[in-house]
Amino acid sequence: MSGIAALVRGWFAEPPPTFEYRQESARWRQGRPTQLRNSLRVAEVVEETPSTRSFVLVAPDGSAPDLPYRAGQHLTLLVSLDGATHRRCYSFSSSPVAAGLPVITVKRVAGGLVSRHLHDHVRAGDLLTSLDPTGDFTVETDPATARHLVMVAGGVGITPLVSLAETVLCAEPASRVTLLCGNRSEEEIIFHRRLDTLAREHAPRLNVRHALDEAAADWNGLRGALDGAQVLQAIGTTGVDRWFVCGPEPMMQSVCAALAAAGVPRDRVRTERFAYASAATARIPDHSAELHFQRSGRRVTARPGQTVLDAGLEAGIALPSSCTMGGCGACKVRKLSGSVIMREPNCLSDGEREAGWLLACCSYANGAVAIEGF
Amino acid sequence: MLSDRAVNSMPSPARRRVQDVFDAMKLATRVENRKVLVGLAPSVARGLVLKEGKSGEPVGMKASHEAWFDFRYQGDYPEMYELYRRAVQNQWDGDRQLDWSTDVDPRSTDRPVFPVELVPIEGLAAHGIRLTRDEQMKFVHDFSSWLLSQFMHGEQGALFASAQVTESVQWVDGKFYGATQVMDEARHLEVFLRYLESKLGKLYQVNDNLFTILDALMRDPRWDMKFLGMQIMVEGLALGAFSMMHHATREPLLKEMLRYVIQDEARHVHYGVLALKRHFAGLSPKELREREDWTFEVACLMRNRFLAHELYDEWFGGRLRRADWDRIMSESPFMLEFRQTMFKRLIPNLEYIGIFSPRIREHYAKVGLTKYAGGRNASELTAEDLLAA
Repeated sequence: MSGIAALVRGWFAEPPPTFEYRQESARWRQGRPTQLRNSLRVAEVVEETPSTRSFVLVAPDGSAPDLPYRAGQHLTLLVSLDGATHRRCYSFSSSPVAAGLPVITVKRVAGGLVSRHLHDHVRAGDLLTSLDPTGDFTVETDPATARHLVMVAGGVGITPLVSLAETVLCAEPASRVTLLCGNRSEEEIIFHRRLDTLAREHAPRLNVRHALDEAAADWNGLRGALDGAQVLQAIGTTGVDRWFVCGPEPMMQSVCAALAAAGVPRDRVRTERFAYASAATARIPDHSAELHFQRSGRRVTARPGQTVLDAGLEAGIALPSSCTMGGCGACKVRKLSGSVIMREPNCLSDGEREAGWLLACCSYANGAVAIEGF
Repeated sequence: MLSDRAVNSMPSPARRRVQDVFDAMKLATRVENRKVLVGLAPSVARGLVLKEGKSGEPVGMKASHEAWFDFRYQGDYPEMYELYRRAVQNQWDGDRQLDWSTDVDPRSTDRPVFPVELVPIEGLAAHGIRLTRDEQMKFVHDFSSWLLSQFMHGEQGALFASAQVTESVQWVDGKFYGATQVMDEARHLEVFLRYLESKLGKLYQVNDNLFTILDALMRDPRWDMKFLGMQIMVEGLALGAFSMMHHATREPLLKEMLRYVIQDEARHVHYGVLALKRHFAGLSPKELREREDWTFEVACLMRNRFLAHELYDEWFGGRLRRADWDRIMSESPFMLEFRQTMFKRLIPNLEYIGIFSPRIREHYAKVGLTKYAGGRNASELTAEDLLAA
C-alpha cells in the first residue's frame, strides 16, 4: 500500500529533469598525450594579390589572442573537410614585436585542398582551429647588435621573411636588412605596399629589391628569375652576417649552392622549406623494428608502416608534433644509431640530416633505431 | 477516457503521469498478440508506468537464464570460430585510435554533429512553434545529446546481454565469439560516454520504451529470445541508427567513432543470424510461430515508439500537446530515414533465419514493411557495405 501511496504522491511532484549536464571525467585524460588546440576567429581577410590572402586572427570573443609566437614561425591549422581533418602549416607574416594582431598568409595552390578552402570559404568571423605556433626558422634579437641580414624570398616565401625583417628592424636599432624578393610579375608581389612603408619607416636600414620573371618595359628593378647568380650579382657576399632563404625548392637550391660556392659557411645560411612529404617517395620497410628512447629507456616496437611518431605516441611517449606531414619540423628528433627511411620532400635541411636529425612524423625505422632524449 | 482538455488542465507533473499511463495503455492495445503482450507487460509497467529507468538509482533486472558449460571442447561451428578470429584481429582502442583532441562545437553549422535538416523544425513551425536560428542550433545540440545518450544506454544493455548470451550459448565457438562482443560493447559504451561527457556536455535519461525492451530481454530466460532480441532486433536498430548518423554527421571525431562502432556491429548481427539460423531449423512450428509473433510486435514497438519524450518534456511540455509532438516526430525526416535504414537491414535477416513465413508476412505487409524483403542479409554484407549504404 505504501508503494501505491508513494506512486500517487509522486504524481503531483515535479519530476527531476530528463537530462544532466556533465563535465569531462578525469579518467579520460590518462591516455596518450594530446596537443593543446587553439580556437581562433578570423577578424579580417586581406587580399594581398589575386592568389594570396592574409588572415588576421583574434580570440573567439574578438580580443587579442593568447598566441605567443616568434618571428619566422608558423601556425598549423586543423581544417576539417568532408569528415577528415587536414593539417597545414602557414607562416606568420606579422611581427610579434610590432603592434597588431597575428596574421598568417596563404597562397592559393592549384589543387590544394586546404588553401582553396581558406580562400573560397573562410571569411571574417569564422573560427579556425590550430595547434600552438612552431618552427625554428627564427632569429634571436639583441638590441646591442649591429649586423647585416640578407633575406631572399621567392613568391610566398616572403611570408616568414617579412616577419623576421620587421622584427629585426624593430628590435635591433643598429642592424640592417636587405630583402630580395622574386616574383613572376609585378601584380604578384606580396606585401608590396607594406614593404615600401617599412623601407620608408626604417630608412636607410631596410633595402628592398624586387626581381621579376616577366617585367614590363618600364620596370626599374631586377629582371629575370631570382636564382643564385642573380643574388650574388645583386648583393655579393661581403659584409653579410647571415642569410635567410625561403621559396620554391629550385630557387633555394640554386641560392644555397651559389652561396656555398662563394665561400659562405653553411651555418650562416638559414632555410625554410614549404614542403609536404609524400608516402609515394619512400619505400616503407615492411618489417617491424625496435625504437629505443634514450632518456626513458623505453623500447617500443614500430609496426610495419608505422612512423616513429605514431609508434612513440602509441606507447605514451610525449613526442612533439604539429603538421605531421613533414612540413613544419616540430617533430624533429635526433637519431643516435640505426637507419630510417624518410618520406620526401620534407623541411629538414642537409645540415640537419647530416647531424642525425629526422622528422618523426615521416620516418620509418629500418631496423633498430635509438632516439636521443625522451 | 479523460478528454484532452481535462488532461491539459491538470498540473504539469500529474499531466505527465496521466500521459504516461495512457501511453502504456495505448501500447497494450496496439500489441495484437496476447501472449506477447503478457510477456512484455511487467517490463512495460516498470518502464512506462513506474519509470524505473528514470529513478536516478541503479536498476536491478533479475536474470533467470541458464549458463551452459561444455567440457568436451569440440570444434562445433567453424563459421563462428572464424568470426571470433576476425573479431580478435579487429579489436581497436578508442583512447588511442580516435583523436579526442578534436574541438567539437555541438552547435556548429559548418561541421554539424547532426544536420538541422533532419530535426523536425518545420513540423514544429506548423504547430506555431517557430525556433530562432540560435534556438534551432541549441535544439540540434540537445537532439544529438538525446540520440547519442540512447545509443549509450543501448550499449549498456548490449554489454550485459552479450555477457548473458555468452553464458547461455551452447557452442564453444559461440562462447569464444561472445567474449569478444562483450569487449566490443564495453568499448562502445566507453566511447559514447566519453563523447557525450567531453564533447556534448549533456546526458539524457534512458527512453522508457528502450528501457522496456532492455528489461524484457534481460529477464527472459530463453537464450534464443535474448539472441533474437539483442543480436537481431536491438543490434539491427543500433546499426540502422548508427549508419544514419554516420552519413549525416559532418563532425570528424563522431564520424570516425561511428565508423569503428559500425564495423563491430556488423559482426554482432552476423553472429546473431549464424546462431539463430541453425537453432531455428530445429524448432517446432509452434515454437517458430511464437518467435515470429514476438519479433513482429517488438519490430512495431521499435518503429513507432522512440519519440524522444525526454526532449519534449524539456522543450515543449507546456506549449504543445504530446500527441502532436508524437505525430511531428513520427513524420520527421530523422524518423523516416531511421526507419528506412533499420528495416532495410532487419527484414532480410528475419527471412534468412527463418521467421518470415507467409503467415507473419501478412502482418508485416499491413504495416508496410514487406518492401524490404529480398534484400541482402547480415551474412552477405561486409562492414564496408554498411558504411557505404
